[in-house]
Amino acid sequence: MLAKTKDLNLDIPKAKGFWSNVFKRFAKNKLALLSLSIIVILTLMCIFVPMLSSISYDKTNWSEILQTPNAKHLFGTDNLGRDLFVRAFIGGRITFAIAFAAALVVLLIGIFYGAIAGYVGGKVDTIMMRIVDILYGIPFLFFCILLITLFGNSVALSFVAIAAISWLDMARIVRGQTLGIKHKEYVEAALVSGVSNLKIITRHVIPNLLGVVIVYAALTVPNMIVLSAVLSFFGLGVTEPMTSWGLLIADGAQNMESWWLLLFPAGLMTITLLSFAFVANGLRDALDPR
Amino acid sequence: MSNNTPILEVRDLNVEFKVMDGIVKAVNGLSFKAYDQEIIGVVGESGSGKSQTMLAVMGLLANNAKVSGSVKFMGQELIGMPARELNKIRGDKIGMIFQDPMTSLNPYLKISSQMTEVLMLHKGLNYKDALNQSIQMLEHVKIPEAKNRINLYPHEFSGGMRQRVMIAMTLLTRPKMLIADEPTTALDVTVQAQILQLLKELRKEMGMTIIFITHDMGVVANLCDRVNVMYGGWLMETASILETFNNPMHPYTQALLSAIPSLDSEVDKLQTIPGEPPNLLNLPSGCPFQSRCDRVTEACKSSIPLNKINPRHVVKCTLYGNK
Amino acid sequence: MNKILEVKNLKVHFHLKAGFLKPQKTVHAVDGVSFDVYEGETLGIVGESGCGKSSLARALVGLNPITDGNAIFDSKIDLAKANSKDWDEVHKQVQFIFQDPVAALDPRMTIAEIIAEPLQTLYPDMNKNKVMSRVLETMKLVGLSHNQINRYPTEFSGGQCQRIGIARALILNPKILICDESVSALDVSIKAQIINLLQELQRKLKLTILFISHDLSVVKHISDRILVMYLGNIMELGDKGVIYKNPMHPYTNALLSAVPVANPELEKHKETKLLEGELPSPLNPPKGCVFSTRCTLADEKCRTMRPEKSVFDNTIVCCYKANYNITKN
Repeated sequence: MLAKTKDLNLDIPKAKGFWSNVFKRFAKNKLALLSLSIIVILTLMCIFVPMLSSISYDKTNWSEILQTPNAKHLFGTDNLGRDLFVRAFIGGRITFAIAFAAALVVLLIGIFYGAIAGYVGGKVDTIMMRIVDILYGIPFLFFCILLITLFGNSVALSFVAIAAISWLDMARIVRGQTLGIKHKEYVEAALVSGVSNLKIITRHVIPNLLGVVIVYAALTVPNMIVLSAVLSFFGLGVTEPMTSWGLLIADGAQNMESWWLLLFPAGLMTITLLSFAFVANGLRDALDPR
Repeated sequence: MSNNTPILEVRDLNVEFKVMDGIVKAVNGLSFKAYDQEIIGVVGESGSGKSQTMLAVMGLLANNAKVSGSVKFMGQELIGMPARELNKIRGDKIGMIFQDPMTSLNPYLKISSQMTEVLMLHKGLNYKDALNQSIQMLEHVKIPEAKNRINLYPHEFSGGMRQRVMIAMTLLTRPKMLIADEPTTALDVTVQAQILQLLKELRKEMGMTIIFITHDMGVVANLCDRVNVMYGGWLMETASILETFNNPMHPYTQALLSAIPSLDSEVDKLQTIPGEPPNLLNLPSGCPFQSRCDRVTEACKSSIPLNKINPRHVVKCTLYGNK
Repeated sequence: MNKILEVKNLKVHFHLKAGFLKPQKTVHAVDGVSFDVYEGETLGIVGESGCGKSSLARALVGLNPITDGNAIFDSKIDLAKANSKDWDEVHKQVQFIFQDPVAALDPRMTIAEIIAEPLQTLYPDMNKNKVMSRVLETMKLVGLSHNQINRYPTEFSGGQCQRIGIARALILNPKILICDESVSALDVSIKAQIINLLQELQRKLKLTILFISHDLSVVKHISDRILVMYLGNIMELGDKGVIYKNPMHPYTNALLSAVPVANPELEKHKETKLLEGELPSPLNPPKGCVFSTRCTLADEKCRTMRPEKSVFDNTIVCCYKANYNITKN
């Protein structure tokens, strides 16, 4: 860390950094901003709706089976009389939790793995990327079924499965970016100043590839949502009475005459996916102004 | 065409770009003429508008550009001409070469197919004739073993040879005018000398007018008949080559000439032009050079007259007004 | 005068990856060069692209590995055998200015962070306030205002970025500054400012400068001695006045005559000796004198035996046909 300029009795305003300019440009994109607020609102609702609602998500009520949406049950009820509104958001909670946690793990592993492979290069790079290639070859569903037969069915496991598959793309992208940054003159300038390789990776390489990584991460989260939905659609991961969007959609698809059972979870998921896509788009434009 | 009708006549050309932060005024009220078989050097630093002027002449500006004024090529107005007609003139009568030859060569095609395509498209030749003419043209620009080398890909040529290939390709349609945008900047001096020599010969043999954009005063002295000095989108001074070097009138031209170290003279300290080039988003009213000029006056903030020193020497500066 | 750098038979070779059924190839970027650099002088290194001048410069700061030979810094450290502790010492004393002033600055760091990095890396125990005051001192030295300290490189023009790059190099108080095409990317009016700045700094700080450039006019202006390279070999090395006025080596001669001079009358009557042919590949350099394939004077001996260096009145020249019969002035 450097000393603050004010310690030296100098009053120098802090200049606007790269990221504050990015946010300014992002804020100009109305669609992206709207999408971001939708994501924030949905996330908050996923946290608070099940907490604050007087109805529990697993409370069955035999007198209120398969009700159409009404004032008491905004999204109607399912064939056990459970409130779909609460269930949709508790399902969203699980889906979001898996997606965000997996995205975080993917970011961490992908960035460091890719940056090290790209920066060190040579044999290390070859070996590291061949490992990625091999993991790529494993079919996702087969891998999940294998994990579940070995360790039993659990939410944590579906999260592990998703993260284990998804970091591969991130590692490849980061490695590609790193290869470009490695030969930039500012990296060479750091070498001439005696900066160690580890510090070059953390101080010069990673901050400079963060832009691309963030765009890719924003595109990854919806992928994870879809993957976790696919898993629960097949009954892997989340188990009743707990639920997720994938499970709700699977239920809804089996009761097509009760349209609300499919419409609301599917609608929520669609809105979420679109929002992430628009946010990613907005970020890409904000990071790369023409 | 008589000798005193210009091949190219640019009058009051303005080029503006709309960008996120405002309007970039790249070229402002530019007028000049180019005559038959003349080599005009266009000199300026980055942001002087020298490249944008030529792109405007070629109708190749980016989409966010706004062009006004007049560009007449052999009597035909190019500004506002429908794209199809302009394409034809561009391919047939005006050629353009760039600093990086790879901008106009396709890396995935052999030179032979790229060159014959031009001739088959523009001249309606069959493949065999087109191939023969292409080989001739490569020999013309002094590529050794042209017959074999025409079957190579662009990356198999060295930098200087690649530049020759691009020149040969541009000359296939025997254009009346060649616009060269810093074609030797990326080349070594020995290769540059070869290319400059080649351009001088080609001008005579093919009767071409050449507009040569560069920032290197040495190259200008070697090659050109006349010089346009540009700064901040303005044409500051235009004069014959000898007058430009022996009797530069504009303070910017003078400063530019004394800022370069030269092989034939020795100085202790280089003269510098203080400050930085102007921001094209926010040009001052009046002369764009005023903030860096050591002879600036109050009059420099208003509109600046064009002063004809003699019929071929024009200076845009308040120092030389006949008030 | 003190020898600050002694380069002996230095070689920088790059090995291209051998492919399937493809033998390994070696690029002879620098192929055995020897020269001394004296304290306080400016040595200009000229040559065309591919002559190895940049590979040589980069090898001297550890950006390229030294394949063979020695480069002894300050009669103490041999760069060819230096360990990481030695390199830290070398980095403190030998700094580098890059060609592209903008690309040489990390766009995510502030000016203060950029300039302070070498100091914080090589003197990790230095007190924060001391570092900051050194940053401000150095910025003043290169003509930057302290108001700009918290800004990012993208807000600066090329000329100012190069000043920042120079400040970063000078904050360590180095003895040697290696400038690799450091003014080539700048506009004419800015180029003169940076050249003057470098000369002024050299006087003030008693710097030794290795100035690598393809621009012979700039090299002539700034250098005391000139080293001419071709295809990884030294052609000629001598005082500026001698090299530019009476070049002995045919290559130096050809190179100089190709430079266009900003004087139309001279240009009109000048006889340019155009070089024939193309630069041979550094993968497979000619057996004899590397210039023999393009030299008009070359004979059988030139093509088979590489000429040793001969010293002629402080001028080193590697050529059998060197033009020694020039009256010195």
